[in-house]
Amino acid sequence: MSIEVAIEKKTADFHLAVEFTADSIPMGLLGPSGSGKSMTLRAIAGLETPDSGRIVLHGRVLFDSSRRINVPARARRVGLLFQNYALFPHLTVAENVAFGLRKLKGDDRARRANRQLTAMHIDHLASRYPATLSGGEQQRVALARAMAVEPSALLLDEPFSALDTHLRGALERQLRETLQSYKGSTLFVSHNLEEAYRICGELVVLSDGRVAAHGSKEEIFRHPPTLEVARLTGCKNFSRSLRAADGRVEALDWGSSLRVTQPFAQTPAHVAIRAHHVRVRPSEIASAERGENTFPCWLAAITETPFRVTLDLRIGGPPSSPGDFHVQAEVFKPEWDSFRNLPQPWTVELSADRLFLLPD
Amino acid sequence: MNWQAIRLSLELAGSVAGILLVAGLPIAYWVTFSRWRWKFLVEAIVALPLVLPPTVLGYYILAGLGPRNLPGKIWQSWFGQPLPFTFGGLLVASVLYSLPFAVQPISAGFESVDRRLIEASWTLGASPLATFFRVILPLSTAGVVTGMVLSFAHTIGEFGVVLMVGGNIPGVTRTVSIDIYDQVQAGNYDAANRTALLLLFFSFLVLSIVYGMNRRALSLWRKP
Amino acid sequence: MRRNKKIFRVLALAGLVFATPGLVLSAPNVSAVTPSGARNPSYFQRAEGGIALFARNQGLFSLTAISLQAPQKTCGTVTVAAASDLADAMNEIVTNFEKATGCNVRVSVGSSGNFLTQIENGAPFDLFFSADIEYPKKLERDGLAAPGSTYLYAVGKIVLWVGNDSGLDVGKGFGALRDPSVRKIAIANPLHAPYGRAAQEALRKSGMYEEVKDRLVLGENISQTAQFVESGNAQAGILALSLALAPSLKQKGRYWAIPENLYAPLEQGAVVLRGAQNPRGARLLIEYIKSPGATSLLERYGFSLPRGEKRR
Repeated sequence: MSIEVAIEKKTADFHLAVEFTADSIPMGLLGPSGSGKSMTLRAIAGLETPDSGRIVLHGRVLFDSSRRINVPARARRVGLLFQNYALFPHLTVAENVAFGLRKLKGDDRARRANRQLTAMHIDHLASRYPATLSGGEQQRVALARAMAVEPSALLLDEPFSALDTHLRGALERQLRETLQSYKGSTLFVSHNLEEAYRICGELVVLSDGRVAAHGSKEEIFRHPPTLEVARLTGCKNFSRSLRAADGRVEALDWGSSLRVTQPFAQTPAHVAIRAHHVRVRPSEIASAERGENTFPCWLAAITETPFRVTLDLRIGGPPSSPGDFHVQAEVFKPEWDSFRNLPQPWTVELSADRLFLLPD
Repeated sequence: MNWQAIRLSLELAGSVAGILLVAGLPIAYWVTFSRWRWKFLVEAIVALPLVLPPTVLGYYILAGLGPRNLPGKIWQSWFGQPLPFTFGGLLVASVLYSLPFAVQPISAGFESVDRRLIEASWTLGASPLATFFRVILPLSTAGVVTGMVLSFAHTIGEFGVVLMVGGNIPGVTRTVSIDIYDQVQAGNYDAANRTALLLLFFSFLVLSIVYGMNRRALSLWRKP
Repeated sequence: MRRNKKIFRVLALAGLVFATPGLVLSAPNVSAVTPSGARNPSYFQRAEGGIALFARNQGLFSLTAISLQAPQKTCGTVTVAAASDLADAMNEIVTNFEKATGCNVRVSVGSSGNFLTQIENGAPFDLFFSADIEYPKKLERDGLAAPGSTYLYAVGKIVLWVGNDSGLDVGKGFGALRDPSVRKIAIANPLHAPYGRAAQEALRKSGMYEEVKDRLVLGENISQTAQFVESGNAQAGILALSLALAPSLKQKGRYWAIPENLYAPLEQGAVVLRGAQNPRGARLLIEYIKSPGATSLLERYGFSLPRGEKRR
């Protein structure tokens, strides 16, 4: 039930070289635009041909450049979900879903198609045309259509990006429900971290055509292996660092000395912490009660989102301009309301077990 | 009113449209989807009749395919008579001459089909041929119809080539355009006028019907 | 509005740029300077004759004419519409005429019926050499030519012609057409070409018409008819004798003179047109046709000549 990918492809201005393995746990492909996520999916589906490499799905060799094997897309049994659904506008929903079932006899075909329609909760739309459906309904039809042929692998290329935000939740739930009973491999491409985190168990992070990180989602988020992966997984606070005496780390950009729990052998190049792990509290705490990694801070700027605020803080002294800050902290609004009007300096804590060290 | 000439022209135009439907689809498919680096040469050849005067084609059929030259001799050995002065000759000339009028609209129709639909069809297990009939063709009917109508109309209006290689044989190569020309030359303006008006009215009727029907098809599947 | 003006100016300039070569080329001297001695009335010239006349009528031509004319031309240009059967003969006549008089002649060759229609609709020729004398007479009746001015300049003849590679024995006359190898017989279109009418008449009178009518192919004019046979697409044809004797066809085939009692004589008439721009030059040409030099040339091309000067 696994898929092995090890391919290389060069175009005029891009060089893709990826290698990873995925099994029945849904795997997310993360990365910025242009990092090669779509190209990888298309290569697995057979819509692009890599220059060299191997693709093996459930023990079946789909592509092997050294043995000149290149199974055409139609024989690969790989389901692909597109960002814009790609439903056939001239066919009804039922005909769309049954499109790949030509080889079955009439009864079987109808049965399988109906099963998918029911599973996706769209049986009431069977005789409608795609143009009359909402985005969410269309994506369900696309999913039903892909699943109807019982593919060995399911590839989803940013399937929710075209949807309105409030619809995504329902579709996500539908997808997770579908994936629970799905035995094949699943690859989910997204540039929305949270979505990928929710749906997938494992992650591959691509950057500039190469695999930057590969592992369980928890591992990657908690201990990103490189600065870039940390950035790609949403970390915002970085400081160049030096090894200090007695196992501490000197954060040069923050002007502070920090204790870390993560063991390190060599000098870490950067130390980082995620914005929501930065704790901000009002300053009534006397200096005596201050724990380790705790410093006075001043507010340089604030960004508001519907339910949270992002505080740009300067450690050690008041900021000279709104851009003069060291770390960003994310705080929920209720908490923010509790100290926003209290006098500065406030206190910021960078917990030792939340800091992580990056080798580059 | 020369009904024989009118019938002949309709037969010729209808046959040409029919032949170009069968021949034009594969050519248009190749032109649209092939990635051969020298494809542009083929596209130029297909487009030649748009630019060349019909007398060029007429010349080549008359002299080049005439019985004195090798290609003509070969033709004659297959068919028993040379190409000029036969309905078959007009058919060949008109098919060649209307080729771009069929291929280009069909190709444009194919081009307008969203590539992702074609790719979706492949991932669902359909072969390129099945994809063509189940996805590409239904979504490009407007282009195909336009191609057929244009080749039909263009052949009705065919004059230069017919003048050069037809031989003006009643019922065989005396098309309505030649007939009108002859009537004018003989000074029979009334007869010429009657035939011309009938042709004008008929063509307008056909075109209106086809474009009217096409409009519905066009609006249904316009890309978002 | 300003942008439209700019576009208009650019288009006008482009139009001028493209029109200038046309105007220059239609100037008389350019066409006279052809490399070969015998002038070949090519399609280009036939078309350009029309353009030249058009330009001249617009008055533009006169300017270019003045600037481009060589010093001694006093005759100007004469425009002639000539029947197809005169093609090669007219070439020679005109060359001699130009040398003798210093006039410049532009010849358009085509079917007589075609020219009749064009002249009736205002085509500005000076002179019309028709293959059928009825056409100039009709022009007289319609007021497009001076009454009684038609001149019978020649009597044409038709022949049965086959190419050299044909196995037919033309000595057999029309009987040769019975041979199964004769799949197509070319004649000019009887509807509007005099030689076609004569061919049809001869076939009818000889009783051959029913046997051959399904195998006939019609040429728009006698020249196209000749070309059908010459290219081998028709195995035999009824052509003008003048064409059969012309340099272009002479060595390429053989012919049988069709007995003159089988068809009404092809009286060929010429007339100076009322709308002529150069009536003086036109009359000079008509007079030249009557001269011994021209008449012997016509005889060489197989034309019979009228006894004395026939008018009317």
